[in-house]
Amino acid sequence: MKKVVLLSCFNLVLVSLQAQDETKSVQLGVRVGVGFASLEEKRFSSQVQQGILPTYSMDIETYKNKVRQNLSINFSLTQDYTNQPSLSYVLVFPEVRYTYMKSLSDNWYIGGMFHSFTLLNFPESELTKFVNNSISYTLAQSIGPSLFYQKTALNQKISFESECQLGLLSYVVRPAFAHPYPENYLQPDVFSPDRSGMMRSLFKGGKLWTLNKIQNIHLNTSTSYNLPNWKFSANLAFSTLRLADVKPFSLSQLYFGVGIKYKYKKT
Amino acid sequence: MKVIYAIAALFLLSLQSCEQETVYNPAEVFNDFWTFVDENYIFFEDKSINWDSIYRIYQPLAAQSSNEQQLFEICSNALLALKDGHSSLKSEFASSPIYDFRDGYDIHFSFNVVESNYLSSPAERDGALYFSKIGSIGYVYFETMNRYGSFNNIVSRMVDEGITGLIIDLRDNGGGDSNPVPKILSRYVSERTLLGSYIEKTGPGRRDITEPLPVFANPGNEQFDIPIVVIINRNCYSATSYFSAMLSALPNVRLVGQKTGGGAGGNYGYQLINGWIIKVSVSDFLDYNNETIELGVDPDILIENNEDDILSNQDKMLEKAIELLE
Repeated sequence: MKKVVLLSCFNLVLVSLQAQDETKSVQLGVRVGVGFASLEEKRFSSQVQQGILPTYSMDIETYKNKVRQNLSINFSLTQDYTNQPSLSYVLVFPEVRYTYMKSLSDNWYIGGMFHSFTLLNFPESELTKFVNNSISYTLAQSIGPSLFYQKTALNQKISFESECQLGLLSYVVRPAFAHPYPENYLQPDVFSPDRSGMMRSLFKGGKLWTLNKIQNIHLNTSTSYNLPNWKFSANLAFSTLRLADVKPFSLSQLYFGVGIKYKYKKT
Repeated sequence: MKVIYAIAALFLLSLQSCEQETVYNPAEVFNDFWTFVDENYIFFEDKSINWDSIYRIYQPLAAQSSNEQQLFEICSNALLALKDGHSSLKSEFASSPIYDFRDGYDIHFSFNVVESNYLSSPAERDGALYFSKIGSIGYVYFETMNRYGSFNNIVSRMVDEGITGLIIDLRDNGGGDSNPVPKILSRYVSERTLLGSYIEKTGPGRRDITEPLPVFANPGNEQFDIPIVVIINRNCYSATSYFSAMLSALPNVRLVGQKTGGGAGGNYGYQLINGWIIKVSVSDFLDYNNETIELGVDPDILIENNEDDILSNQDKMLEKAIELLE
């Protein structure tokens, strides 16, 4: 099963590279925004923590022969998520979203998505030090369907876009239980108390989960003002990640962002 | 499009409603506390603790508690039933009392007595290590289990100076970090040597634990071939108990003094539903005989100082160590 996932990912990248050779329209963009996030991490807390996640993004969007591809790289970092004395988190959250879609009609595209993220979570408390569990991590790669809607108005000066992505099959790495060791690291002749060699186990130690164990949904809508070579946009997105792990985890975010895109055409 | 805006609006409303301060009822807090300990604590069976009976005793008291301070005291008392110095509960207004593993032991040690009456020259200091010689015997005192990375360099220097034996004094050392120990001990073995094993919790059930995960000392390029005596007392806790247990696995090493304080658990912190932070032990360490050291590491030769010994500048434990090396 793992091979199937790897091959699927490889195919997505391959198709992407092939398509880029024939690019007709390319849009390169940067975006900044804030996510109003709600985080439940049962490895550290019974409470649902709420805070603001600043996010920085880069996008590459291409259109060619009724094929739309989009690669979005997002990075969120917060030093003091929630800012409460009892427990706060330092969160590091890089993610990559890639979609490959074909046109259904003038306005609709349908296809697949690949979503990869790493969430590093460092608990901090004014009451005590988290010595032995000073980090938690969630690494996941998901694939699934994606749907995109696009409409223009006012002689193409204004455009509206909406997108929906759903992770159907995910490869997830989380700590086995209490201390932050992946399950396959807790084996004789692999384990070391100084955590040497743990990174190797970490990347091999994932599990394939589907909708009953992980829900990964992303909805995005944006409004843009178009100039011949530039596009100014504002977007509103909602995403939710829910993992029914032995110590459950969920992160829901409502994100507001603004960005600028440079458009060029290649014949 | 409308659907997306509707979802977004609902989410915003939910955020707003969650920001209101929530008051938790005492029974809910106690259940959260009890369940966390129940699912994560590793020593219930080793210590024959009936955690269900703790629930039956303390839950009704918690449910009737009239304020946070009272509830905190009830949870703290329940936690003491674990008899574990690594378990604690903290709130913004109080810290729970820590289980006293020293209770019932007569512990007397003074480094001043050692330095003034036994060492050939005043002790030098490097990090947490104090070192000197007693005649032809090397002496190294570990104040804590942190900043001891120069230990092998110190021993190497002493070996070059011709010491005939080494005393490692761990008394009153409350712990720190034992992770560097296996690498340090690679200079004291000529073959791959089992130092002990870790056990980690892998799930919420009592028996959801790993098999023993062994830790070895692998021989390095150069070995120190000298007899070693380690002095321990009941104040040796946590990483110091680990160190004592690992040293006891080596050839040419004998432990003298009192049983250590134990503390095999690697702890794990968690925020309860009302914001209090709890820590409990979620891992164990077994000595090379596969016995947990949670309750302490036994010396090969039991010997204790009493108060009068220290007052009269005598250290019988150290004298025993010297005798064994002469």
